Amino acid sequence: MEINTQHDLLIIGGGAAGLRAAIAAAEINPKAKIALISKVYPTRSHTVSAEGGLAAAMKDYDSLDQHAYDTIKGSDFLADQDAVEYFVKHAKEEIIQMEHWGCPWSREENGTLAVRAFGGMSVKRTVYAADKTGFYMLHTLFERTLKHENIKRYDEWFATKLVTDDNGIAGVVALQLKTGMLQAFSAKAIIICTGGAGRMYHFTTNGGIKTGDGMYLAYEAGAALKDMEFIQFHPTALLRNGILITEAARGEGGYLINKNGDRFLKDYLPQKMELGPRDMISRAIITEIRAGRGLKNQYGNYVLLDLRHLGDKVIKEKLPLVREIAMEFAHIDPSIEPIPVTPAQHYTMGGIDVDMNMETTVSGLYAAGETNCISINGANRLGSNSLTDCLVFGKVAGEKAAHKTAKKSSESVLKSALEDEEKSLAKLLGQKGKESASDIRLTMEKTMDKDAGIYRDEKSLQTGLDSILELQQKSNNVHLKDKSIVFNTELINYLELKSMLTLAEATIRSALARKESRGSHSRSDFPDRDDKHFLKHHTVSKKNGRMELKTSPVTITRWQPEERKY
Amino acid sequence: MKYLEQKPGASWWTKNPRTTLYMIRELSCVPIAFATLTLATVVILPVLAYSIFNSPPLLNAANNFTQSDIFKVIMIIGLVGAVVHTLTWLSVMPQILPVKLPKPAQYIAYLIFLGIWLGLSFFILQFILV
Amino acid sequence: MSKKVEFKIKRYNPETAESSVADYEVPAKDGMTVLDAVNHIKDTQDSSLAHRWSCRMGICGSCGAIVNGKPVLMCQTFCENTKAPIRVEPMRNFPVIKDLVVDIDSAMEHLREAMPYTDIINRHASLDKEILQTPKQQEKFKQTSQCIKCMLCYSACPVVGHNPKYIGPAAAALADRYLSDNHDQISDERMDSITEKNGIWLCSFIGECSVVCPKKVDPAVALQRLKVMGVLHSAKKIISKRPKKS
Repeated sequence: MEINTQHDLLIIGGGAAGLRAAIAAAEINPKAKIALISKVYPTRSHTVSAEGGLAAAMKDYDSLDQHAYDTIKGSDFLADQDAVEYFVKHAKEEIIQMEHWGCPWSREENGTLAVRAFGGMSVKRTVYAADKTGFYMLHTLFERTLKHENIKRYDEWFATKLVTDDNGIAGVVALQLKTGMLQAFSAKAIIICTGGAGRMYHFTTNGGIKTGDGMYLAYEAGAALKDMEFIQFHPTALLRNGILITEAARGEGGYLINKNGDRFLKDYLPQKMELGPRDMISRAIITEIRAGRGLKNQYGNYVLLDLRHLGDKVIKEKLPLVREIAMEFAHIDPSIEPIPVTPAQHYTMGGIDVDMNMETTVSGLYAAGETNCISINGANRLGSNSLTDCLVFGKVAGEKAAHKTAKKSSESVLKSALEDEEKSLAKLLGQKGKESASDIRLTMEKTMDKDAGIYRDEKSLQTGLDSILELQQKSNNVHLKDKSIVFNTELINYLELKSMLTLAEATIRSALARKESRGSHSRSDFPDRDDKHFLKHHTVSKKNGRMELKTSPVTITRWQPEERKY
Repeated sequence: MKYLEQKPGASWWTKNPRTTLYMIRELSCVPIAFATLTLATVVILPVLAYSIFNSPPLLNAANNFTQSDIFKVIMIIGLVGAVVHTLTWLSVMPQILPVKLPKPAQYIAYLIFLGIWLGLSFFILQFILV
Repeated sequence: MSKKVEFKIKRYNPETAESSVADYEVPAKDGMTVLDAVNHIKDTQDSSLAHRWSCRMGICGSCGAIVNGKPVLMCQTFCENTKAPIRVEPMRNFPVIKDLVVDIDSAMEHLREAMPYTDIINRHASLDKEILQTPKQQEKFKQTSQCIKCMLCYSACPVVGHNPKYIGPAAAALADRYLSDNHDQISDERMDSITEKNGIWLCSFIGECSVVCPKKVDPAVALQRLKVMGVLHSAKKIISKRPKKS
C-alpha cells in the first residue's frame, strides 16, 4: 500500500513515442522528475518490429507542402491539416536529432542520409536503417534515456487505472509484476504512449503486447477516443503467421503478382502500382482473391510478393530482415522464389483524441504515438509516417507535459483509488466463473477479423457488435487459475482483454456510424466517399457508464478534398 | 514470496564440451608452472649457489635429481601442458585479429600460426639450444 | 494427422518456493515454434504458465529460455528440429521469479556502465545537417549494433553466473558499438567506466556468449577488442600523467 509522490511527470509506455517524450521532458527541464512506466522492458516495445523507415522532406527535390499533401491525400482528406503542417515542418530535425544521437541511418556512399521510395509518397523521402528501422530507433532512444538521471524507469509495471480529481489528472495506479505490489503514483501530468490495439484482431502483424491498454485507461478516465473505425491493414504480411514483410520491399522495387503472374495493381492503381497507399493495395489484393485470381494453400488465400528481380545483393543489403523472415518461417529464399503474402491488421489510426499540444480532454493527460489520434493520419496512414509521428509528437507531448504546472492533488484521492484497485484485483483473483479468458479472446479476434475487417457492412458490423457485447458480459464471469499476485500473466492478459473488448466496441460502433467508405474503412453497402455528411471525426467517450458517440470537425487549411486516385 | 536463485556451481565447466575445453586450456598453465618451478629450484638455484657460494653438494644433488624419473615425468607433463596451452592459445588468436575473418579463413590462419610456431620452435631447438 | 509433441516445462511457484516439471502435449502443426506451443499450452491447458513474449519474429528479445539444454529464443526454435520430449527451462544465472520468467534487472542495469550514448553535454549541433558517416564507417559497429538485449549471453556466461556484478557481454558489446562509432565523443569516459572493478577485465574469453547469441553479435570478440583498447587507454593515462618537462 504505497503512494509514490516522487515524480512530476509520468509516461506510460516505453516505445518510440514514450522514450522520445521522456528525453524531451528531461532535456527541457533537467530538474523534472520523470517516471517511465512500461509493462515490458522498453526494448520489447512494438516499435522494435517496425521495418521500413521514417519520412521527412529531407532532400532538395522535396518540399514540406509536398509531404503534407501526400499525407493529407493518403488520409483520404480526414487528417487535420494544421497538425499535418506542424508534422512535416518538424520531421527533418527529428531525424537529424536521432542521427546525432547515433542512430545508424543507412547512408549513400558519400556519407549523407539515404532515402527510399514508399507507398503514397510522391518522391523518395523515407529515411531508413536497412530494414530494421524501428529496431535501431528504439534502441537508440532507449540508450539515450540512460544518459538522463532524472528519468526513472519502472520496468514491468502494469498501469491499471488513471486517477482523476476535479482539476484533471491526479495520478495512476500500477502493479509491479515481479512483486505483485500495487502502488499509486501522483503526477502533475501523464503522457500515455502505449501504442495501438492490433491484438483485437487475430491475423495481425502486431506483437502480443499491442492490446490498447492506454486507450482504455484514458477512456475510463473520461478522455475521448477518436476515429476508432479506421484500422489499417498492411498488404504484405507473411501468409503463415502474419509477420510483417515491410513496404520497403515494394519501395526497393518489389512486385505484387497474382495467380497468373500479372502485376494486377495496374488495374487498381495504374500510376503508383505497388507504391500506392496501403488501404487501396489491401483492397486490391482482397478483390483479386475474391475474383479467383489469388492463390490458395493450407494457410489461406494469398498473392505473391516478387523480389527475385532485385537480386541477391540488394536483398542482402537493403532487406536483410525480409530475407531472414522468409527463409526462417516460410523456407523461401526471396532471390529465388516469390513470397506468399496477404493483408493483415497492422495499425490503428484511431486513438485518444488530443489537441495540438497532445493534451486530451482530461487536463494534464497527454497522449503520443500510435495511441493518440490528432489526427495526422486521418482515414489511412501512409507508411513511414508513424515513426516520424512518434518522434515529432512525442517531443511535443514531453515538452508540454514537462511544463504543466498543476496543483498537487490530495493524497487521499490517490489513497482511495489505490484501495479500490486492491479490492478490485483481489476480487478478480478470487472470482469463481466458468468462462475461459483465452476462449473469449480468440472469439473476439475472429469476430473482428470477420465482421470489422477490410470490407464491412451494416450486417457484419451489427453481428460483430452483438458478439462483442456478449463477450463483454462473459468476461465478467472468467475464472483465473493463477491465484498468485506475483507475475500473474493470466491476470495481465485478462486486464488486456477487458481493454480490447471495450476498444472493439468503440471500433464497431464508430464503423456503424460512418455510412461511407473512406480510406481504410470500406463499407460494401456505402462504397463511395461522402464528404457532405462524413467529412468529420467520430469520437467516443464514457458517459454515465455507456459509450457515447459524437462528432468533431476536420481542420482544413490549404488542401481541399478531392478525388483520391493513384 | 521467494525467487529461485540460480548459481552455476563448482562443476559448471563439465556441462558442455566447449567449457570443458576452456578449463583444460586454462588448467594447462598448472603443469607449465609446476615444471618451471621445478626447473628453477632444481637447476638454476644450485648453479647460482655454486657460482656464488662455491658449494658442490647442492649442485650434485640437483644433478642427481635431474637424472631421476620423477624429474622426467614432471618435464614431460610440463611439455604437454605447454603444447596444449600453445595450441589452444593459437586457436583463439584468429578470432580476435584486427581484421574480421570468415570461419574458413580463420582455420587457415590457425594453421599458419601453427606453422610459424613449429618453425620458430625448430629454429630455436636447432640453432640456439644446441 | 493427430501427431502430438511432448513438452516438459520447468515450473516454479514463488509463493510456495516449489520447483517442478510439468508434462504437456501439444498437437503438432507445420512450422510450429516452441513459443507457439507454449502459448497453446497457456491458452488451452494451463493458463497459470508464466512466460514472456511479444514480437514472435526474433527482434524484441523477450522469449529467451533454455530448450533441450540450449539457450535460445523460443520464437525462433522450431519444434520439428527439436528432439522430443522438448524440455523448456528458464534462462540460467538469473533468479527465477516464476516458471520461465527470470529477473533480468541486473543485466539491464549493467547497460548503463557502457555509457551507450553519443555525448555527455547536450550538444547543440546544428539540426539541419547530418554528421557524415560512410557505409564503410558503419561496418565497424554494424555487428555489435544488432544486439536485441535478450540477455541470453548473460544466461550463458559462467563469470556472470558466479559474479552478477560483472559488466557482462551485452553491455560490453554495447560499449564497443559506441566506441566504434564516429559520432562518439566520450570514449575516454566510457573506457574508464568499463575498466573499473567488475568491468571487462573479468572476462576469461570462455566464449559461451558468442555461441548462444541469436543475432551473431559476437560479444566475446568485442570484449577482447575492448581489452586491447583498455590497455592502450591505461597506457595513455599513465603517459599523460607524467610531469611535463619544465
